[in-house]
Amino acid sequence: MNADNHPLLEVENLKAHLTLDEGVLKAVDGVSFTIAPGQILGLVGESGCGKSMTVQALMRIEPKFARVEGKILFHPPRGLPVDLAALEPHGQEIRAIRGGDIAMIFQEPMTSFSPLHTIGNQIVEGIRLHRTSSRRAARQLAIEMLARVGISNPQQRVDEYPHQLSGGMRQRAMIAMALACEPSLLIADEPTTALDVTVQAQVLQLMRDLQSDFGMAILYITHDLGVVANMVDEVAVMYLGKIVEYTDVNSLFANPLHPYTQALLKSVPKVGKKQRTRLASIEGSVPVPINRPPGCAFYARCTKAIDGLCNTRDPQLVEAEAGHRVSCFLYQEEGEAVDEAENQGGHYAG
Amino acid sequence: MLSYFIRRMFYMVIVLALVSAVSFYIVNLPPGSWIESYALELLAEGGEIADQAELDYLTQRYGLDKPLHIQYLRWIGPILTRGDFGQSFEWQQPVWNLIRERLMLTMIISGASILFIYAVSIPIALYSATRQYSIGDYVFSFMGLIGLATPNFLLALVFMIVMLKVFGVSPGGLFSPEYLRESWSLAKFWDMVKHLPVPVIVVGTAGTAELIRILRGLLLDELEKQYVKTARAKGVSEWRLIIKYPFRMALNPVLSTIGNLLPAIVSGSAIVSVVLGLPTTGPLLLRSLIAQDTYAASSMLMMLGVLTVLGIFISDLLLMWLDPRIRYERAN
Repeated sequence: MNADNHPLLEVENLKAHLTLDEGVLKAVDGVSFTIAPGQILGLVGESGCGKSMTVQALMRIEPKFARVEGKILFHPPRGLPVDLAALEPHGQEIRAIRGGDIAMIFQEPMTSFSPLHTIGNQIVEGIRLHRTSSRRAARQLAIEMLARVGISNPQQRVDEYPHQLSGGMRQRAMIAMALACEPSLLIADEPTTALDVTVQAQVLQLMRDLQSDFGMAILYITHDLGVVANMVDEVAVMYLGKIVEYTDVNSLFANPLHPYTQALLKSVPKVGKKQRTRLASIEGSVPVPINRPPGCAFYARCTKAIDGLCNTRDPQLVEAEAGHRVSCFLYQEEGEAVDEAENQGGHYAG
Repeated sequence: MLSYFIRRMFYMVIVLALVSAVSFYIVNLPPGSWIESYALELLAEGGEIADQAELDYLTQRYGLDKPLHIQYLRWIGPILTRGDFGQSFEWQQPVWNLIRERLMLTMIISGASILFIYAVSIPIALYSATRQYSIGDYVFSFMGLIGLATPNFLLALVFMIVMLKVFGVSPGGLFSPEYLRESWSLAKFWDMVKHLPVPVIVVGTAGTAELIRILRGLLLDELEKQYVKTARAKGVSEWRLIIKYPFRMALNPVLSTIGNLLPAIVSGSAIVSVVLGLPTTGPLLLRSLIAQDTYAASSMLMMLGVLTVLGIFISDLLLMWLDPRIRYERAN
């Protein structure tokens, strides 16, 4: 049984390195975070920062040429904690957890369903793997779930094909599929990015409602800071395969510490702001993390970089204020930084 | 849906009408007619000069003095009204009797070849795609390229030599000599089955190699698709999900080529049939084209056209059965 003080998921120093012809791409390079039962953690960052690879590694559905290292300690509601990183990616153990205790919603509702099978068939497939082997009970459950996510006429919809549903409907069906097995952790990989703005709001509302009904924890991946403000309890900001800032949502918006987070917040357009002000953007683009030189990943784009320090040593994620962790030399003593560099490891988790 | 079928039937009739006209026209395209080649042959065989009166009589009897469109109507008319394909000039017997058994044997060999192609290439393609760049993948790709590059008739010759030298049996023909003149019986059928492997392998090798390449490429594309990841995230086992999702997607283009496979095999196997001495339509078609045996040649081309159109129709039906998007599109 899961004691209340247990976190649901503890990720420690997670790495996903992709072996490519050009070299090793460190898509995820030492990421640590924890999720408590029922908590919503937002994972924020630009495209290419490694957030999608992080969650694929969590589910162990990473690409074939990726190597996953580190610790992914999952405490299921029933049974003993498991280290997902140590499991065989196609093995029986991880498959029992995937889709059951941990479910996932993907970004593209258009391509996430097979066009050749009915919505019902694809929802039932998961239910029969994890909840009941009865075909009829599984179908009934699928219809109930479709009704639950606000799809009208679910008895008919269940036998329809994905191309007969609109994008918003498909994403609702996707959510129904993910929640059908009542997971204790839902991973949502930019679930509203591909939708119209009005539909986005509906889907977000739906996810909030379902969260309070089902009580599952959510790991919410997004690059949309507006969604972050609306949805999540805690935020981890990712940049180039690393978490650069990790705090609760209020202090992130009130007091962003990392120069990258500050720049990110400045680049959000605000309604009611003085007209004709230019929208701030971050100079440059996210570098490709192949054979990256040492030093802070944000060094090249940072306006507050300290030459000789930021480009020679890797900053570590340390607690700068109570419950507010940041990986930046601006908030650490130099001696501390040296200490950190010497004992590379996760003593910051805590 | 019904209106789609009716429309489809209508198109098939139009296509077949065009096929019949074009094949009749093409057969008659070379200068001269069967009469001239008959006279030449007599001259070459016995040195006797054909009697001009006899030639004139034959010309008149077969209507070869009439304009081409009249000849066409005299050929197509009986086919449509009585299913009568006319007389073969060369063999002096009804065309239908001539091609009936050969057509059936051709279809047996083609059908067996198609089954062979599928049975061999689908498992290999699945293996190669799921283990891309493995040693096995390279070995199969290498063998596939060789299979693709080897001409059929050469393979047939190699097979004949091997069968003769190693096993001491003559692989030519489709029947043992004692069954050649027999009418159909279970024993004769079994004898044919025993003779089938060599022609089937020879005819099917190139197709197998091609299908492996096509299917492997399609599967590699499909395996990267998002819906595969979705299924994996549900906890579906790897083999199950490959068969259920990407493999079924990859079958679409394969099924849609069934219609093309048939004529390709029939025409491709003509040379093989000559080399192996198989009693299929291929050698007969070649012979009747050389002899300008108009009715026999046109009728056989026509039959191949019918088979092709039917094949495409069948593959369309299969596609509709398999892919709801196509079904939906056609129904509306």
